[in-house]
Amino acid sequence: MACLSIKGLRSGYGNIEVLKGISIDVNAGEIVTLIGANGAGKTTLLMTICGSPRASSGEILFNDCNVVAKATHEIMGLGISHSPEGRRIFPHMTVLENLQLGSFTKHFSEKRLRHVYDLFPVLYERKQQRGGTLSGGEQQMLAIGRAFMARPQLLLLDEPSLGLAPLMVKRIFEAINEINEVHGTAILLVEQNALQALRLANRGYVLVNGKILLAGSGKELLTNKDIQKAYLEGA
Amino acid sequence: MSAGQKNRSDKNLGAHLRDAGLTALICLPLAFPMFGFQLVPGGEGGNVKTFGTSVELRFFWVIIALIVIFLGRLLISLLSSKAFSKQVVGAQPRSVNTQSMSSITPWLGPGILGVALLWPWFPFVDRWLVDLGILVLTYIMLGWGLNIVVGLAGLLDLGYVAFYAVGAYSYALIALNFDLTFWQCLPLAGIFAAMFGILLGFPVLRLRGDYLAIVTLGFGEIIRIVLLNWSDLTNGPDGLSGIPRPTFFGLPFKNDGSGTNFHSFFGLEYTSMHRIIFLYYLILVLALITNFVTERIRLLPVGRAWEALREDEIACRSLGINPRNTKLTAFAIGAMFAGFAGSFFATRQAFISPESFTFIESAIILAIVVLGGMGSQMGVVLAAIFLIGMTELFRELEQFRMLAFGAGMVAIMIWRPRGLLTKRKPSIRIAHTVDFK
Repeated sequence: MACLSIKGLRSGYGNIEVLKGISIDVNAGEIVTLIGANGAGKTTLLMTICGSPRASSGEILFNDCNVVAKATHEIMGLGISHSPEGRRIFPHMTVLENLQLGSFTKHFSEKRLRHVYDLFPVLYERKQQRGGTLSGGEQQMLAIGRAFMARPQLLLLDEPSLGLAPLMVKRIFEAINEINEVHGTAILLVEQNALQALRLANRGYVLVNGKILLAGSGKELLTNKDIQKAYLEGA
Repeated sequence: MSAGQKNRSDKNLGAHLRDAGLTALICLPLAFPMFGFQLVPGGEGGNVKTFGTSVELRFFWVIIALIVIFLGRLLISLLSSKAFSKQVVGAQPRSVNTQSMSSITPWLGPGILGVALLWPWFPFVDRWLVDLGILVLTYIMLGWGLNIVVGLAGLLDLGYVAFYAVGAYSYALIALNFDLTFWQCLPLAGIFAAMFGILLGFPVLRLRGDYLAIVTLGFGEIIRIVLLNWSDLTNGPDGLSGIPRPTFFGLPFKNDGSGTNFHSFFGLEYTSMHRIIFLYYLILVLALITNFVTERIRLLPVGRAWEALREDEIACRSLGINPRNTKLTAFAIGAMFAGFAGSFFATRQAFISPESFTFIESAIILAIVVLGGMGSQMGVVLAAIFLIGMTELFRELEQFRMLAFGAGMVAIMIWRPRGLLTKRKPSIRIAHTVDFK
């Protein structure tokens, strides 16, 4: 049973087509990772799922409901949450306000807030601090926590390890795993850190120039010769 | 302490002199046309002769001006380098400074409110000072209204005066043509202004920053030019006169002996001060309503969405916030308060013309918001008192009084470059949040 099912998706910016017919599935409760080089279209795919930019053709089925024609704010209300690339927290607002804005489409739930604090205790310590004063890793935690506040069925994470120290990357990946295991949230993870992402994920897709080149379980892709050569060498 | 700071504090006298000399040199092309020429009617003493008048060249005054500027600049740079070296020696002078600021802040609001409530009754306050109070409060109200659009939602609006004009003309036209009272016209004027806010909002939904500023600037001019040229409705440049004065719950402030007037009802001697004081309290109440509503909306989801939109539009979209509705509500509510202020302006003046709604008004209101500290309600109050009060205090300088306005702006930007009050109040208090473990 697919939570998110994308078929023949084409999308891009103006005349430039970035995604040239993508088909992927994310089943309920699994972690799927999308790896690929810069400019392959990873971020564009996540953004297209969110409705900005709009898909030029193809289907995006979320719980068997086609969301291609819907506006971004409607899609986000259906149970998809997106933690955008580069974190994009609100720097002048407090940690707590950031988290509260995460539940904008739903009722603010203190229980949910407690879950976020359980995941990232440091956010509780810094709840009255302005978002911009957090370290990069803490900001990433805040971005994931904020996306998680909307009680999503599907969480889209765009490069959560970007620009973070290895120790912090490890903690972020642990938290992603916990969100998936404890709360059963399906996760579509876009990563350049292919090794870590594939270890964590149930399944993975390799995106090259707007097309899916390879698909398989995390283990299969980790042992694939081509992938090792292209993405895992030196990692 | 970085190397650059050390250099600055060690700057020797020669550098200060060079700096002052350069400043004087820059002022030369400014001072020459401003001080250098004087038209003398029919005079013979001038060097250049024209029809009936001659131009006198006043090199003496130019030299005086340059000397004043040279010495002034030298003094400022010497003093600031002294102050700076003191700061470096003393531990953390900056944080001490902000601490003293934040210890005043909680008392500032109630204190100013108290003074504002009692203002007309202070013994030294005459009619002129009450009028000044009305003017300052009008700008505070406009500043608070614009603060919603610029300070909270982060939409740079250079045409805010358009809504002020819409409010004033709506009030005047409705009151003149339909014989409604002030209190009936006021909400209508607010609704009209809000509608124009939405009208402006729709085409600029996709614009941000500079582009938005240009379009709003154009919008402000369009409204003014339409008012100027639509003579059938607005009476063009001659303006509308005879706008009904407000009444005290039906009691007019008149001394024509007919019917029940304010003074005869309360058994008072007639003075025109009654009306002035009533207008003062009217604008005070309107301004306080603006503040109250803004503070409440900040705590609602739409208020949070405004602030989030100011910070990051893409993040807002990813959280399911609808940017279109959020922006339109900000424009509409901001415009509505300008409409209220406009009605007040019309009833106070009893005469309005497009002259009152030029771009400089928008610029002054925006300056109040920016200099006060974007999004800070108290900052708007301080900046309005400072800028408007100062400009009016120097009224006797006539055409040079805008210099006082400029000097005020420069002073704020030097000493508090991010606005008078920059601290943002969080919209959630600690008490409201869950405790962990």
